[in-house]
Amino acid sequence: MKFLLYILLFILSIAFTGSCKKTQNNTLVVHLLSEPEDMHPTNGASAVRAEINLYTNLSLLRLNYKTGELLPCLAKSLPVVSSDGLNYNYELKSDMTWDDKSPITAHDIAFTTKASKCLYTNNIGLKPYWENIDDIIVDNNNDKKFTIKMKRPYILNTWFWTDFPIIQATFYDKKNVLAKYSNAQLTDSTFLKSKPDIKQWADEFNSPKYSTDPQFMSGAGPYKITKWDKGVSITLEKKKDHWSENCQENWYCQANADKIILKLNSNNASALLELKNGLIDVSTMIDYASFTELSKDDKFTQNFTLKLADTYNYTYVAMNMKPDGKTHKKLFTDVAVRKAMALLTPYDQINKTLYENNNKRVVGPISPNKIDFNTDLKPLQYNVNQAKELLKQAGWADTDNDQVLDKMIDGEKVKFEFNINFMSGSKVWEDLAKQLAESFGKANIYVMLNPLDYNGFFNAVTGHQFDMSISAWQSSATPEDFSQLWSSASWTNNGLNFTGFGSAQSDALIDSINISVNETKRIELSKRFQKLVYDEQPYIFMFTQTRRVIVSKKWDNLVIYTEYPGVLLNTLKLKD
Amino acid sequence: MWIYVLKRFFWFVPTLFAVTLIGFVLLTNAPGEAVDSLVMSSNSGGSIKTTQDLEQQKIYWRKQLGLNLPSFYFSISTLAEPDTLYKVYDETLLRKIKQDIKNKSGYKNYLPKIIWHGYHNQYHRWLFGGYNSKGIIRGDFGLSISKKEPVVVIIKDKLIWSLFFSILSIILAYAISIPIGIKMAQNPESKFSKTSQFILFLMYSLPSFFVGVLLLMLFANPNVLSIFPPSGIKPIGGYEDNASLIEKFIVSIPYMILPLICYTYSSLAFISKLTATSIQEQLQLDYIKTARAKGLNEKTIIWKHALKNSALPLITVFSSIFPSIVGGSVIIESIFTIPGMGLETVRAIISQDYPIVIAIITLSSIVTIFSYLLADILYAWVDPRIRITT
Repeated sequence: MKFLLYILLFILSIAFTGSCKKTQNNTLVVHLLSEPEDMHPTNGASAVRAEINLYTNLSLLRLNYKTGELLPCLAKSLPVVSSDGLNYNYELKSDMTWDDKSPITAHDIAFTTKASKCLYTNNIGLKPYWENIDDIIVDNNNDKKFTIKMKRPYILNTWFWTDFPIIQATFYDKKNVLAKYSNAQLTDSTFLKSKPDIKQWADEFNSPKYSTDPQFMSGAGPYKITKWDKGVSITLEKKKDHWSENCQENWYCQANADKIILKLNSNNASALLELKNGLIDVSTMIDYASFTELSKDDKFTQNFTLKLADTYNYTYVAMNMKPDGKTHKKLFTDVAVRKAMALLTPYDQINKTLYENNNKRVVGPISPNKIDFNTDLKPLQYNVNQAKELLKQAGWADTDNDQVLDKMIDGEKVKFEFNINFMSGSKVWEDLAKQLAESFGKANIYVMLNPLDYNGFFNAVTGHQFDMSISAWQSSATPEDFSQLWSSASWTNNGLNFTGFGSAQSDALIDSINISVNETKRIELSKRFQKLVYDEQPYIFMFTQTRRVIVSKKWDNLVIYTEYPGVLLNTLKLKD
Repeated sequence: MWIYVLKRFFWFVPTLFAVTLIGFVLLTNAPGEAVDSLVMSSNSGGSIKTTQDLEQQKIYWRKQLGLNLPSFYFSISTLAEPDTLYKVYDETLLRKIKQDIKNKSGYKNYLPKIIWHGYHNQYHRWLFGGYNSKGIIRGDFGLSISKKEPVVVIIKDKLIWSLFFSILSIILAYAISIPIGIKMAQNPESKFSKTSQFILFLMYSLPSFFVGVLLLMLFANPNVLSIFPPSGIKPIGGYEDNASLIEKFIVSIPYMILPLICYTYSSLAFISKLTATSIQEQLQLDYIKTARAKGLNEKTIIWKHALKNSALPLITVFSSIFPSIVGGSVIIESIFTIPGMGLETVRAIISQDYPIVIAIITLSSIVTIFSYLLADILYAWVDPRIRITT
């Protein structure tokens, strides 16, 4: 027993001396909820990866976080666009270099495009973003000048460059393989079969070392990933003697902290304690309850700034407007019923109990924080009596006194009972579903909760095998392309139009929006489209999500943006 | 004895084969498809469309990952269904085709048919290799579907942490609980025994998520006691660049205490109680009375004779908790942010990354079979009366 006691004392002494070791000065520690799947320069789509790329890579264009407009980054200025909207002429800045001090040229832009478009590269989910690029023509006399030829005019032809880092051709293609082939050849599966050198290059390019080993990660940004401790942390270090030191007026050039450590912690309880212990400097990912707890802690608020920031994301409850009538009954085919469901939703109660009253209502398919939001549309309010009236008008009544509404549909008596699908593992979704079920019950509608794993959930909605489904969409300041979520084709092709919304009118409007390069016209059309959706109510539009920003007061220069990630870590400056 | 051990080893192979086969068939037939998860990103506002290009990409990657092949050497279907139905990957389309076939085929819908696919199947490729894998028999579990990295690389570090915590917790549980159990058994009516019984019962009843959070709130909370770090397994900045293994271990000790308590307390409570009951039974037997009558001291009687004879239930418990060393603990890993196997398993299941899931199933099966074998050998060692029929 004495031996055990000695061991205990030894452990405690080590614990006391070693616990809660803070990091060195000018090292910013940031809370990370989940780590990226990989950090490959082209193959990956997670939000965390995109955030890290903001600091380690540069794009042709970037977002001006203050104004929500495009900002030239590698490009000297915004492109000169041809009158047909198909040719985009760019010139690159002259002083920007790669880490080996070689200049960034138009050949790097062409290589990035080819690497992303090549059928052999492993960026399956991202290829459609590159689909509209026909070719990139580098000026023969000036390798800083080039023209991007697009297949179709499209509102995102310039915007999409903000999402993709430009990569160094000489680093990722040492044998200069891709330069020999055109974009058309690299996307032709028959041609590719006869070219083993492309396959060899792609195998090397896709290899895990470029995804996970910091030695094989090269970018033009002011930071470099120096360590990736899987499941623990990712360390970014400021590059020495980097050209970005001379252009501090642009946010993407700044690198105020010597080191940024992104520390993984997916558990709210321990993340809260890490914040309380001062082990984390920045968090935008803690849950609502913990945020509220911390904001009430005077000791904590002395050392940390806590702010709720708007986002472009919103939550919704989708209704199946075009069910097959067999496996899923025709419950929501009538717009009056869909409106009734929206009126039966206790928005205020949900906002209070699940989001601590922090979320704003949305009324249509885009966030109220976007410039094209239609302010004429007013949110539907919780009103049980009005909902009952609408249901009555739609022919729903409890004819057999079993406390559940019923109606004759296609010669069959159908009861108003259905499943609400939501992704399992989320307490918020589960509580939301429970509150909806309880509230719908007030109008004699019987609801069963149906938690599903990711694949089950996704297959149900894209396969149109659902009645009602809870989820959320992420969005950004980028102009909206409504085709993905709302075009008829997206429903027919089992895309992301889950509900079956769409008509010739709405499809034509979406097409018009997508080619409206004129911003004023696009906004006007977008507002008309929002009205169409609002009138049809395919979703119960719930709330915009708020970001819970917590930043240590040790750090200055804090500006909070609506755009993800909310706080630009590279701009934070340690106080003197 | 050795023949018995060899026989058990011989049974290793078919048991493993059966376990992996069942796991493989279940996973590959689960709803949804991994390539769809790859294609989908949760962004709206972008421009992902179901285009011909995207379909080509899906086909290409399905081929790369071997998902275009039938799952197994043969499949059982109805006489109405064509042999190549496995090539239809779109579940909605597949449902439609099956329904059409059903409507048109009459009696053929009710007659079973076995379709032979040959060795060009997913299971064969996984077992013996092909394309971009050497096969599990050469120690290559293939490529992860979601991370596109070799499975071995992904699970190696995670396995080390899970093994570390699990093995250490098993050693600690036995090292602490056996002396406690013996002390309780020696004098069941003592204050120590009664208090211990109450505490052990309480410990056994508490779920690990509750204990984990409770430990954090008590010992890693500046509002109460801030003795231990609240998460992770090493300092935020990582280890010093040239730190030795021992230095790394010492630096990590504060991080390990709370998770280890969490890993250990439940089995500690159970084993202590089991030891106490078992020893108590032994102490009532005649050979103990004889030993006492012969003048042997109490320490020798208990540690040399009674403990050895009461070890059988302890070995049984060992064989049942030992296999968990591969699986890790989702809850504890989540609470303390330990990069272990538990969280990786959940992630792999959710993303239908079946090469990883099957690798974990295979490793768990190996450890389970090995632990049962070890238990059998230990039974024979502690009690020579147990004759192993060969």
